[in-house]
Amino acid sequence: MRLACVYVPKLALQAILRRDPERREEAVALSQGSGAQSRILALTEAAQRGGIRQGMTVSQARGKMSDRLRIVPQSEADTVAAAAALADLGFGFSPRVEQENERIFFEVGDLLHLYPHGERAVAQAIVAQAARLGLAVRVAITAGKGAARVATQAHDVTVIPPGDEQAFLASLPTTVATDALGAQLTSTLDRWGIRTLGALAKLSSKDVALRLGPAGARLWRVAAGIDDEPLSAQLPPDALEEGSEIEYPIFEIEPLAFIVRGLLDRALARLATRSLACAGITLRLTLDPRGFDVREIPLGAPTQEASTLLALLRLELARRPPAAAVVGVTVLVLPARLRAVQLDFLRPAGPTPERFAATLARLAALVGLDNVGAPAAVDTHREEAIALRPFKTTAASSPDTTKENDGDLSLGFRRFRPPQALEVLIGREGPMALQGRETTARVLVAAGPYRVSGEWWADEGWSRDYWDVQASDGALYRLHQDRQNGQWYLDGYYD
Amino acid sequence: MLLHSLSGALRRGEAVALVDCGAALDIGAAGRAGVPLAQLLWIRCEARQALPAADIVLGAGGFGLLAIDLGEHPPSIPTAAWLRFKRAAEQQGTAVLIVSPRRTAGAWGACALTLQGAQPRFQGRGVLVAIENRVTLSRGESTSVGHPDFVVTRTRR
Repeated sequence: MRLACVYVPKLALQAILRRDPERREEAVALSQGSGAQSRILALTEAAQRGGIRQGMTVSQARGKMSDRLRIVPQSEADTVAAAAALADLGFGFSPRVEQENERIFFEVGDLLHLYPHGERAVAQAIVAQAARLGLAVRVAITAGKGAARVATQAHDVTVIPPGDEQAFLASLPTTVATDALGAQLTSTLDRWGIRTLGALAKLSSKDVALRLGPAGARLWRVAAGIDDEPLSAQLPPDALEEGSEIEYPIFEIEPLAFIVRGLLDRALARLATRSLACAGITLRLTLDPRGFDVREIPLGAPTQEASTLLALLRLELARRPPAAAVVGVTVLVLPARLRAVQLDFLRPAGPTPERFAATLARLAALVGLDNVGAPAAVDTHREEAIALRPFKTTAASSPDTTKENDGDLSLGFRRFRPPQALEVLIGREGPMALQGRETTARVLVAAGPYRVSGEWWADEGWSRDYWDVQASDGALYRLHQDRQNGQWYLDGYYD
Repeated sequence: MLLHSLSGALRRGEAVALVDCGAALDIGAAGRAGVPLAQLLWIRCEARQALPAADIVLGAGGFGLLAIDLGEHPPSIPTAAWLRFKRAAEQQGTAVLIVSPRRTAGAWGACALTLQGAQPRFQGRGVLVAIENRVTLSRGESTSVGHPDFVVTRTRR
């Protein structure tokens, strides 16, 4: 089995820098909290060059680099999202992924079919994909998890050929391995004069285990190239979450949309890593001083377009603005596979499914989700009843050439929705004149009445008399009288 | 005429969208005209949303026919918008059919059909059985309605 180990150094800091990738080269320090006595947990190379060290207080750091240093408090939401993004990176390459804090492991044995240039090409592809997710990672490809952990601690990209683990590890200092394995053994090994893993491997395993306990025995096994730790694969999450805590309360939609855009971009990048699209969004706003506002936004079709999703969210927020200032935003994205459609040999090629899904979502953002779809009949005798079903690209069938139009056209009808209220002058033969909001005319010919009723067994029973009338304004109207209240309505006209 | 255009294009297997201002589509009439409803992308919108919606459909590409029913009160659409729309339609190979109480696309439409003088035919005094319309075909900038080119009869099915 060949395993890739992907390690994100300073995950909490990188989680913050995912928000502002352009600050990666600037002096940024991550603090434990927002107070002056909070400790610096991690820092960028630029900050390090400025003399800032891990463990300093915020006030000490400001004293060293007051003007150029940006200090950001650590954010749990960002760290969780970055760790989840790391897992998504693994699922983009393999279905068998194990996550261990800031590391993931996954099988890469079969990937050589996709990357014929070898495992180094696989490692480089992983690094490139991680960069798309806003993560700077170290990658090691080895036969076992222990060696991979140590290798990622030592180098940016490492490929250890099968059987060469012990030789590769021999020259590495023991501190690298103790950091990678989280073992507090460095000082003991120093006292023994053991400074490389090669030197450790030459000791007797029993003696090491007797003196250093399970941690020492584990370290010795890694140093000796004995790596039988199994990969315990995990399932991919059902939904992706990207969140951000806002440093100051936001009252307006536009700045909120700006933050949501960043979250959507990162969530969609994670989906794209797994070749998935977004099938639905839940927006959770943390309100000031307490409480949440949760909005669910269904989509007409899965899409990968951030602008479309943002338009839908904007519409939702504009329709019902948050009741209080917002201090935190979380976007929960429901993943779905993009629809794959087998094209018909005899049919003209329609819109590509991926593009069509985005089109449906954009149309829904423009006119509302309830106004885009395929028309469908309703099981009722009400003439105006019509339903809208979700449009499916697969609904189309092969060309139907057997039912070509024979030149005989049927009557068309344009319906007013809702029907317009009318005043109608009634004579012995039926309607004689009608007056409505936009129509005033004499009736030249009136055909009817056609009595229709239904749903009398339910509360919404109805009964109507329909008339087709030729009016003096040249139109052919269809109108009806509600027999329950006597009111007349104009349904539309023949066209 | 709109319904039969939709029906014909759908039966040829083309992707068809109807941008319908005011949701005037009648399901009974569409069914009688033979429109396979499940395959029609129906977009109900207000008049001001018609052109943006049509733009989105055209931008997707792959549609054989895009029908825009501008409703009873067509919005005022600037000439530049029609020009852009025409180019997009040509680029995508999409036929665009605009239904409106008056000619709106001006010279940018390939042709215009003007239906006039609906003459109903009643059977006895109870049933409307057919309507006859005089149809005039005009091309380019010509907007005058001269002698009818042909007469169409629509019958109740």
